[in-house]
Parts: sequence; C-alpha cells; structure tokens
Amino acid sequence: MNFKWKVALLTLLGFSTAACCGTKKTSKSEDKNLNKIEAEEEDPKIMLMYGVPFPEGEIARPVEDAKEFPDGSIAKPVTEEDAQKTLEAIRKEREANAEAEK
Amino acid sequence: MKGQRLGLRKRIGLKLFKDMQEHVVERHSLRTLFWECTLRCNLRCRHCGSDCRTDATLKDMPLSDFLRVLDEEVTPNTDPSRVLIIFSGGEVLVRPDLEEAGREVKRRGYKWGMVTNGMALTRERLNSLIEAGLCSVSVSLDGFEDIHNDIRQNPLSYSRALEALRLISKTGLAYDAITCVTPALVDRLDEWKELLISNGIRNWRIFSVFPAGRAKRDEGLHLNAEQFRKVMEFIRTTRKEGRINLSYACEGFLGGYEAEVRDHFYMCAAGVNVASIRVNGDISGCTSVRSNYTQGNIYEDKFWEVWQNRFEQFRNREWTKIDECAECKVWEFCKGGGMHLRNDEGKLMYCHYNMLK
Repeated sequence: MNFKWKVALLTLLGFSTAACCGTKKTSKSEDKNLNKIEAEEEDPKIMLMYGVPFPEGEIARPVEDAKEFPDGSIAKPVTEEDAQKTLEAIRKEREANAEAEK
Repeated sequence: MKGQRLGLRKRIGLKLFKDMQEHVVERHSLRTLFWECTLRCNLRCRHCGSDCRTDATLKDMPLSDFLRVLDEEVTPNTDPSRVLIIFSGGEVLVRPDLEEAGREVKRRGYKWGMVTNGMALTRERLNSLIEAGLCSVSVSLDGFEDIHNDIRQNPLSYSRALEALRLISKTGLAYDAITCVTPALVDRLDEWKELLISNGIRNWRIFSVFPAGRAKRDEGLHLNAEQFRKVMEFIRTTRKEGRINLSYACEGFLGGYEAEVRDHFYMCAAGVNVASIRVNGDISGCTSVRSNYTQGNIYEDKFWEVWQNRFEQFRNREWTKIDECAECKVWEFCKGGGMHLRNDEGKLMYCHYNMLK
C-alpha cells in the first residue's frame, strides 16, 4: 500500500492530525506544464520535548503597548487568588448546567 | 490496564502510522537542528536535564563555528525554509550575540526559535529578538509561584517567566508555556490552567520528570503511576474543552491515550528528523538525549556525512528489544521509547506505558 493510501486510510479513521505526515502539494517548476502539482511526502511535525512550536507563518510584531492583549482585553497579572475565583465560577456554572440538564 | 488498552480503530491507525514511519526513517530528512549555543545558565533548577556530567564551565560555541556548519554542510544539502533551528542551552539569553546569531540564521533562509526560562527576557530584549527574526519561543513555567520557585531555586523566577509569557502572547509569535508537572501540581492542574488562560496564554505543553540528570536523585519530583494517569486524564479533558491548546510532550508511548493527549502519534524523531550540535561540537539527536549517543563532532567530522551515514542507533531501534522491552506487546509502536530515556548502557530508565497499568 503506498504512502498516499495510508494517509487516506488514517484520515478515514479520524487520525489525519495524529498521523501528521501527509502529502504536500508542490508545483514542479522544471516541468513544461507549470500548473502541474506534485504530491510530496511530508515528515511528521513532532513537538519535541525541549523544542519550540513549529512556526506556521505567524507575523510577530514588537511589543509596544504592554497593557493590552491582541484581543484588546486589558492585561494585568492574574494572581493565584483570581484563578481560584475563576475556577469557582466555572465549577458553579458546570453544576448549574448539570442541574438544568436533569 | 485501562490506560494501556488500545481499541481496534487506534490499533489500525498505529499500524498504518508505523508503516509510514519507516518511510520517514528511510528518508531521514533534517527538519529540526538544535544548536546548544551555551551551557551557562542563570538558574540551577532541581530537574535540569543538562545533568551534572556536563560542564557549565565549557565555553560557548563561537557563532562563526555554527555558521560554518550551516554554510558548508547544511545549506547545500537542504531547503533552509524547511529546517527549523532551535537555540538551546543552558539559558540562551545569557549570550549577548543571540540577535546576531538570529539575523545570520534568518539571512540564510532558516526559521529559528529558542527555549528560555524567561529570567532575562525584558520587553526590549524580546523586541530586539523579534527584529532579528525570532519565529517561535517556549518558556518554562512549572506551576504556581511556590512550586515554580522551589524547582527553579530562585524567588524571582516565577514572576519573570510569567511576565515573559504575557509579553510573548501579545506579539503574534508561535509560542508555548512548558510545564514540568510534579506531584505538588497534579491536584491543582485545573486551577493552574485557569491562571494561564487568565493571563492570555493559549498554548501549553506538559511533561513529567524522568530519572536523569539532577532529577534522578530528587524523588520528590517524580510522579507515581496514579498521578501520571491523572495528568493524562487532565490533558484529555482539557483538549476536549478547547479553551487552551494543551499537549503532552513527545516522550513515551502512551497506549490508550495515543492521539488524545497530543496532536500526533508517538514517534521519537531524534536522529531521524532531528539533530543537535552541542556546545563542544558533538553531533547527536535532540538535546534531551544526555547519554552518550554522540555520532561525531563538527571539529573533526563533516556534519552532513555524519547525518547521512551514521545515526544507526537512532534509525534502527531493534537493539532496544532488551530487558522488559524484549517481550513487550507494544514494542512495534513504541520502538523502545525515546532515545533520551536510554542510559549509556542502552537500558531503559523510564517506561511511560508501564506507568499506565
């Protein structure tokens, strides 16, 4: 069974991401037909233990205003106490949802 | 046994992936190159993988030596845009020429990233690194202030690391927080997750201590089987929630948790797609491999010849079928675990799959 079939089968089984080595479409410029697309085997992108995330074309910009996150929310250090409160609110919400489902 | 059980669908998936892995090993395309540019560090962490056998007094590798390897060996044989270069240490920010290194690497068409403890990452330094082409960064943050500072043995380390992550999360860089989960954090993971989310952190990676380096003697850092399963369950639940991108690190085959606690099936890519150049010039697989599996040295050998023709121990793992692995029914998927889990004698120091019994 060739590589592409295996990728297809893994996708059918719901493991397209887990297999993470698929085929990449690349144009073959040497070919007379410039529009011809060739499938090329890709290697798995394994997130290494002491590695970093694979950049996916993110555009980084310098930090000018430390007061805001990209979504516009105000950035302030969150303490352990804040986290506890958030957690408590989430617990309550979950309990309320569970109660409502009953 | 629940954590080890593989259903039919997953078993078929793993078998297919195993076959694909053979192609990957055969091709052994270099995709990640670590440059251990220094062993100097501004912290002395309890769980440091750069164990006491490595000498922190070793001088940093001159940038020109690393660039020579890129120019003469790597660039002519690869497509630089497909190779990620990771600066690692020690602590990389102690090198004053990091920006110059980044600019030179970028100029040659490579993407680069770095792993840091965040202690020295001011806003100004971050901005200058971004200008030098930094694409991706990981910051170690091992839990709440008391836990983190205890592990890192520095009262400022938590606030600096958290602040570094908060700054990075605003830049658009690829990034994540790396948490080494220790027993003190296991029952507080939910709370810890909320703190990360509240601080704008959206990418998170977890790993646990394995018995090597300083951590070998520090049993207070080691998870027992029950705690390890709790961590797996936590990751699985958090990934289903989808509020933060969480995954377990690459190490170890995880039986029934495969493809549920990280984005990919287990595979040790050391020596297959990953190489490292150590501070003394040694050539090996990834920097987590601390035992002596050195394949050559850039001051004596041609890097590309080493990459193409050596690394047999990394690419053919039949030799790991010893001791408990000899009769293991999942060896075909696990291939004896990560190379970093093997000691100098080739013996397995830690088995993730056994922790799931």
